[in-house]
Amino acid sequence: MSSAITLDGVSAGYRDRMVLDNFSLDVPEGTMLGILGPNGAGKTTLFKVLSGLLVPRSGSVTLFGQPVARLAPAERARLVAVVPQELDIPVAYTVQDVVMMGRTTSLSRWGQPSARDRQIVERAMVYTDVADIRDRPITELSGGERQRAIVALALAQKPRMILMDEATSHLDLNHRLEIMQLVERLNQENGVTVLLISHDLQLASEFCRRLVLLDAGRVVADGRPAAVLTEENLRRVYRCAVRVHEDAETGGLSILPAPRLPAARVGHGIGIHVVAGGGCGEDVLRRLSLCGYTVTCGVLNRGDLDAEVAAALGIETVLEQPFYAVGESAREAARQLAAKAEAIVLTSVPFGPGNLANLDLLERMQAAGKPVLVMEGIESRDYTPDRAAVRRVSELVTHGAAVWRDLADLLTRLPTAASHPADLP
Amino acid sequence: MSWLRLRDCSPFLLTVLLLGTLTSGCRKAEPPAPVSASGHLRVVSLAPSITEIVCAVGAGDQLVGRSSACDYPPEVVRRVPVVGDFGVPSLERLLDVHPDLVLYAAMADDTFARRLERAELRNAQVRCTRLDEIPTAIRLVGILLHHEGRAKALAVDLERAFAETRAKALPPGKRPSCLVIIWHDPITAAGRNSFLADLVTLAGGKNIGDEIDRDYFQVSGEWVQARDPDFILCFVMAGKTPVRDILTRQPGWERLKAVRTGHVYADFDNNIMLRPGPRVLEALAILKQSLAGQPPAPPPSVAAP
Amino acid sequence: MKPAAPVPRQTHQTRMFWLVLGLTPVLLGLCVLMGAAGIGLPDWTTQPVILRLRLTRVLAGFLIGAALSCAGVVLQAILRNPLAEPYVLGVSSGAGLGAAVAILTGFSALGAFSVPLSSFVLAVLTLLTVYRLAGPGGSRPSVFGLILSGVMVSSVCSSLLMFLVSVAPIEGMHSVIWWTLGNLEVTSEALLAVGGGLSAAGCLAIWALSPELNAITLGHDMAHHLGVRVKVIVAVALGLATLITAASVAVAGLIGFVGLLVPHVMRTLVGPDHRRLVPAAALGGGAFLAVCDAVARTALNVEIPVGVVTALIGGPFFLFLLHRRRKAGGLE
Repeated sequence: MSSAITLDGVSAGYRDRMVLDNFSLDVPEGTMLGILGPNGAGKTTLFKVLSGLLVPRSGSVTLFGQPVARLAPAERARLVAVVPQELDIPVAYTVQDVVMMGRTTSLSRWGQPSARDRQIVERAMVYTDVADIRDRPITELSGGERQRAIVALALAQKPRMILMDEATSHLDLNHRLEIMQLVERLNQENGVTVLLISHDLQLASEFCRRLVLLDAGRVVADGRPAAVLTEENLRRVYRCAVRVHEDAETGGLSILPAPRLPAARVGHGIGIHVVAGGGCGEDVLRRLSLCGYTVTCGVLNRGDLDAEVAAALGIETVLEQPFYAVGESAREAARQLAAKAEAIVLTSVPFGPGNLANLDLLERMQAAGKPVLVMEGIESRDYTPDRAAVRRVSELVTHGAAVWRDLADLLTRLPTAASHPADLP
Repeated sequence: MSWLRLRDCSPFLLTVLLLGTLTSGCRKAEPPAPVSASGHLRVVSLAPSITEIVCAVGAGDQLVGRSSACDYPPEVVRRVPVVGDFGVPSLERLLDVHPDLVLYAAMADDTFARRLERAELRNAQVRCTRLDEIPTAIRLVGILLHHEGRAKALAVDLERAFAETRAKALPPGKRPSCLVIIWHDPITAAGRNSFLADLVTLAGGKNIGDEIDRDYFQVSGEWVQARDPDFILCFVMAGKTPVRDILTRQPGWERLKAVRTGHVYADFDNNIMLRPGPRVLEALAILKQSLAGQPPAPPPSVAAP
Repeated sequence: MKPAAPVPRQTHQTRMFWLVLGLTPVLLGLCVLMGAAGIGLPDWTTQPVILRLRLTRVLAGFLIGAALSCAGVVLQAILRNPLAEPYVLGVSSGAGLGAAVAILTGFSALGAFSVPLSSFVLAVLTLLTVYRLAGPGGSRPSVFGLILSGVMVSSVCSSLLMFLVSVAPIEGMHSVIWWTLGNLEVTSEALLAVGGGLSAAGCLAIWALSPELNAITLGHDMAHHLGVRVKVIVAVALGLATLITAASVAVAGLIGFVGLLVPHVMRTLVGPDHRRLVPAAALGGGAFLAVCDAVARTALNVEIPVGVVTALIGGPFFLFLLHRRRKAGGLE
């Protein structure tokens, strides 16, 4: 099978910013390829390079065996058509006028369009189901109708390849499916190569047999949807936790952001004591409260950001005077409070001589056999002169304290109602 | 009694201030006070025609300032400093020559007069834009400068000359028709409210622009063709531009009567022709000559002062 | 009983086009009947010169009106802005400045072509400056960039013009001011032949670009995808628009509103397809200016500058259009 596109070592970008960096890709003719990636990954730049809008600084771009740079615009228009995300048309052309513009390269200058042009336009309009609105001004159409008209415009060019740049983002579900099915038919029946940029990962995985995942101008993964859309890849590229689920029946993939909230309020009033300060515990305090845990906190200085959050959430907190080191009475109060909890969580609060005493609480909990969860990275948060915090936390870990990375991780490690059947009402 | 707050006073204070400013600007213009016969008034003239009138009534030595357009008589011009351009006098330079009286021509608005008032300069407007205003202007200047006798004599002379010429004038039907042009691009003709129209009529011609109730107006080639005048008189102050050639080369003009008979005249001394003043009789004579078929001789170039 | 089907848009627009085509000669003929020598056709045996002068004037009005309208169409297509007109890009101010320089330096005395040549050269220079300012470094200038730099350069030219006028001898000023108000009394038929010929050729060339102009109104990127050499077409189209505007200004001074108004009206009548819009605008604009000039020379018994009449007619009409557009929600 001949190649539709070959990009070899292409570097392209704007002014001083290289968006695509030493990029290579080969797409055989007849492929339906989905191009995915976060904003700024270079997807639109790739399309610009393919359609000749942007000239790469280095590397070669070949379309159907011919270098893009050497293609005459008219020839190129007969090879590649682009369907943009949206087209702002200030002039009240009718749908037919717009679709007829797809024939620009072959229209006669003076007279009326030829019979062949008219036939091609007619067919394109029928294919995209805009034939019955052909005389309506495009400015009066709905989003879906307008996009179908633009697809018709692209079809009227009779291209061998179509580039769709998030062309269905604005459409509602049935129109989106409609356009995708239309494009799929084009691909399967007429052998038109289709490249599709979409943020709808599921849609892309369903219609495209091959996906390319881009990040920062480079190809991260290239292959079948199941191979490209892994949790690892997606987490790395989109920088958020996701969950990928493959439907056993259809083989379709469903991609969801990883649960931010546990499905059930698993806390059930289980007591968790949180050691925080300076705003580091805000997320933890909030999330644990939402999950239904009975959260306690201390020792915090009065006026501390976490103290205010705790107060707002109704969390029982042991407070010390502002800017004072943790004193004996505060320490005792905290010890009593912590004793009532089932587990203790250490957040990313930095340690200095003033709040080092809070580590006592953790040590006591561990001695009592209750779970201790410390956040990773204590090395960078120890401001005590003798690295006492690092030492003590390492001790805790050695004796069985769990280390948690992020909130999602933490939630999985906390004791839940399921692990305490005796506490259920 | 409670102290009045300044805030409450301010509207009242503002009103007082405002009224004060308004009333202070409303000083009435004082008429020029009569000066004893032995005293000589220092006079500034801001228009060429006024300068000529001042000299004609014998008060030339009293001139201490003139406009840059004033160019006659030459000896006055040599001696008297310029205090501004015609229509744009410089108040500073005016004050510098310490005039007792400032004479200026009619202007579109009276802002200039008010400026002179504010600078406390005695001033008088001398209207001299039409033929019949010349004798009146001469009389006025004579009164203002205490040369009534000479002024009156001159005015009477002019009036008599005008009356005689009018008495001997041909009826309108027998007069040669004239197109009087003061600018070539676009062609601007003199209407019946202009000095040139007065002059041409007095000289025995019939100005085809008289049908228009304006001083000067733009005309199209077609308008000229429809009236086909006997004479085309060009009073264009355009320096070295060959106005006659430009005009006669316009499309269709070669078929005009005046062009075919060679009666297109452009070599007038516009300093005489366009200036309503004491030399009006000279202008009249030149025009009569032209209308008799004798083109004027080009004026000798005058050395610029 | 089925209700009568509404006439499809295409047919209605085609009918309008033929109407414009048919009405134009009628209007032009009416204009020949009006003039300073009186209403009515001058007898060509007894008054051949007057007839010839009138025909020349009507022809000048037609050619210049057509040119200004076509330039307006092109600029509105390229800049994708319905407020675009030949003067937005500062072409008129540059041309006016060139004329003033020629008149006030005495260059105009060298012959009838000197003023038009001078204004033409400066108009082209102005356009190049505007283009360069809008998109430095060879990049494609954006619509806003073009309009902004057009306004800036236009202001600079106007200021220079005002400066020249203020220091000029009074006599030269009169000519310049008359020039800036527009005047179809062409004193040199050779000039009209050259200027009019250039304008006509330019209009034809613009008509030939209709498919590309259509594509460009969809956006420069989209036009590129449709196979149009956008940079080349934009440069050529702008160049043509400048050429015919400068030729018009050189012949008849500054006449405004024609390039703004006529394309608008024609677009509502015959539709936005340039293959129909360009000739309709040319014919309509030509007829419009000829009629305005007929009014200008006969309404009062003195000559009024034709630019005044186009402004008096075009101005309120344009405000009305603007009002209607805003009511309709900003879309055409």
